[in-house]
Amino acid sequence: MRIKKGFVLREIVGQKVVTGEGLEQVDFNKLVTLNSSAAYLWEHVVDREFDLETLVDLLLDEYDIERSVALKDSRVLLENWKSIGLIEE
Amino acid sequence: MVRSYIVGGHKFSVSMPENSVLWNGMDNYRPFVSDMIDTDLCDKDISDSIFVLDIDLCSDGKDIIDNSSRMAEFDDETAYISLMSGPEKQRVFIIALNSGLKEFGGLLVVGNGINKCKLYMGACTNYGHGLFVINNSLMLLYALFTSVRNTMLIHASVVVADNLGYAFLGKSGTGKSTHTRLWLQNIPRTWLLNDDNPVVRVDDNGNPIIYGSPWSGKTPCYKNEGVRLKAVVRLSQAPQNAIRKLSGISAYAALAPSASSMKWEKKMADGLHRTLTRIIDIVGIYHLECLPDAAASILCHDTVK
Repeated sequence: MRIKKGFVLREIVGQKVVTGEGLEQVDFNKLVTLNSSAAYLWEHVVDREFDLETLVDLLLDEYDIERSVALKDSRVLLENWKSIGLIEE
Repeated sequence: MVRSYIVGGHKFSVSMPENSVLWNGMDNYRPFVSDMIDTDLCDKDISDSIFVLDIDLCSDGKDIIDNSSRMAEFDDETAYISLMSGPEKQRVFIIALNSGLKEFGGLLVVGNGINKCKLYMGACTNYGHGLFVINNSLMLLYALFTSVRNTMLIHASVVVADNLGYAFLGKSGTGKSTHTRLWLQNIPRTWLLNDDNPVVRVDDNGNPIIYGSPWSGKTPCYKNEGVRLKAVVRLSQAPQNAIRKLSGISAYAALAPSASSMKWEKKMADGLHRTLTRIIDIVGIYHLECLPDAAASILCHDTVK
């Protein structure tokens, strides 16, 4: 899967936010806030193919956590991004 | 003939044959005139313009349309715009009042990296529609060329009280003009600056200034004036009056949808984002739930002044 075209990560008053700016996303009228770990993942998978395992590995590279925790968090995040319409298979 | 105008401190120029009756319909630009040159377009005269619009009343530019690829179409209550990519990667727009009139639309061509733009109006046979095409072309170009200059064109109604500007935002039909009228009726020493598309600019000293413009919707209010922007209020209709101050992302989200932009252009999106973040940092942003009554304007004024 990958992040759909047209989404841009911006910073608004210190907070990382995803906005729909490309022609593909002109009708996307939401701002999606990301916490620091979600923003870290976004920056590392934008413009490339990835899957659940990619996210888990990225989290384990950056944070000192158990694999089971990384897996659970990645799953939740992925479901969230899917439901908002940020990613495509 | 070339006429130059200054809106929000930015100068732009329009070139069109002197004998065209369309000049007569451009009264809304009169307060903003800076120069009138009777000769043809000459680089020397327009070097300080952020853009120049050269209007061709004969050609409909059909050969350009035939060699352009369609990218997107926008059709809402204000205008129909078809966005295309031209044979030399120019930005090409068909502009009409609605999709039913697109055969009679104007063709606007914006080259890459140059500020000379061309508007082909050979298909605009109707006088009123011709003026609509010129106004919308100039608004589009203004938003495009000022976005990298700390400036944005916003959809708002603006009232001035004690020499400070208050901008009211909301979707069409929310009651922006109604709320403005309530201020004019109930708050002393107030006047209307613009009723539809004012300009907001962060000046070189970091002050947020709101300006009148030649574009004011149905209300003929074309004031060449600028005042400090004190507050921005997003309105929604409600069964009671209530107001709250917004901050951070809420403030950004309240203001951003009312800024005119072609956000798929990265340079423009970056410029707009910069302007928006500076505005929410220095201007009070509020959300007012309101009835169309005097109490709403008094509550609002007392809170945001």
